Amino acid sequence: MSPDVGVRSRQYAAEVADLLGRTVGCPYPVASERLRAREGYLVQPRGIGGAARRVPLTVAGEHLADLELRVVQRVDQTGQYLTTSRSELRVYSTLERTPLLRLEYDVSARAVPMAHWQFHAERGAFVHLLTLASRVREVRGPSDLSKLHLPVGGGRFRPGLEDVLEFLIRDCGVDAANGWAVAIEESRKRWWLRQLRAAIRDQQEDAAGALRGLGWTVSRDGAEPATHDQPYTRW
Amino acid sequence: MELLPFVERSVEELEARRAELLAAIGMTREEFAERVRVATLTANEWDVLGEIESIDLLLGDEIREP
Repeated sequence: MSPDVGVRSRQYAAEVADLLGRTVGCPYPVASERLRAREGYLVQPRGIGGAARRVPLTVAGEHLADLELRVVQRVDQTGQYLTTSRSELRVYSTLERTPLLRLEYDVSARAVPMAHWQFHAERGAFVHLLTLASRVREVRGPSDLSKLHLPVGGGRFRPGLEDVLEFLIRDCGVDAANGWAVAIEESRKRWWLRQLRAAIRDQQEDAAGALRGLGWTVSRDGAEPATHDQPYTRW
Repeated sequence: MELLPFVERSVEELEARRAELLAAIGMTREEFAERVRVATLTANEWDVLGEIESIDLLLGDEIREP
């Protein structure tokens, strides 16, 4: 693995720390750690000795929730770029110490959508539907809606940390630092441009065709690259 | 932005920490993996799940909830 890839992982950890610090605040450093069993990195907020820590979320100064954040980065199919192979963003209630909602992504997921929300909520009518359905076919946890995985955007177009933070601030009333909106806009643009570049690498002929349609002259040296369809065909 | 150095922990340290977390909930890895797979976790189990998942990822022993 190129040493540059390790630097990029540490750079990404610094960007996450900066975003958290400029929005909801984060008392812990965010650092990268090499995976032992394969090539890649784990980025998360850490306490003493490197152990995972949740980011405290306050409302009017009162600690009411925690954000758990974990990102696994691997080298992509080209061997040159870091890509997120798995991420977990979970919001926990401090009242019950259980999740309120989770945004999770796992590129290797098969039985569930690669990118999905899970809501830890109750709704009688929904449980009624699932319970009746469970009599005729297999459904997930008919009495536990948190077992459902709501698909969202797949591998390339899933929401990012920025969206979760803005949701927590705007919709849930979580305290935020002055200037949080600018920090989120800057980081979101960085996130989406990264995703856009990855999509272009995946589908180069389509990307070149789109540019030609806009009047660009686009040519390529070397063999025609293979397309990478998985992010666009699976849920 | 300041680039922090990599966190460096030995495999032995990670395994010892995971054993400590599992002991706190009184389960073996297999028992906890089964709980994660089929059950609605308790608050105590959620308290340790994230750190155990992180250690599993580092060591290549992931547990996934279906």
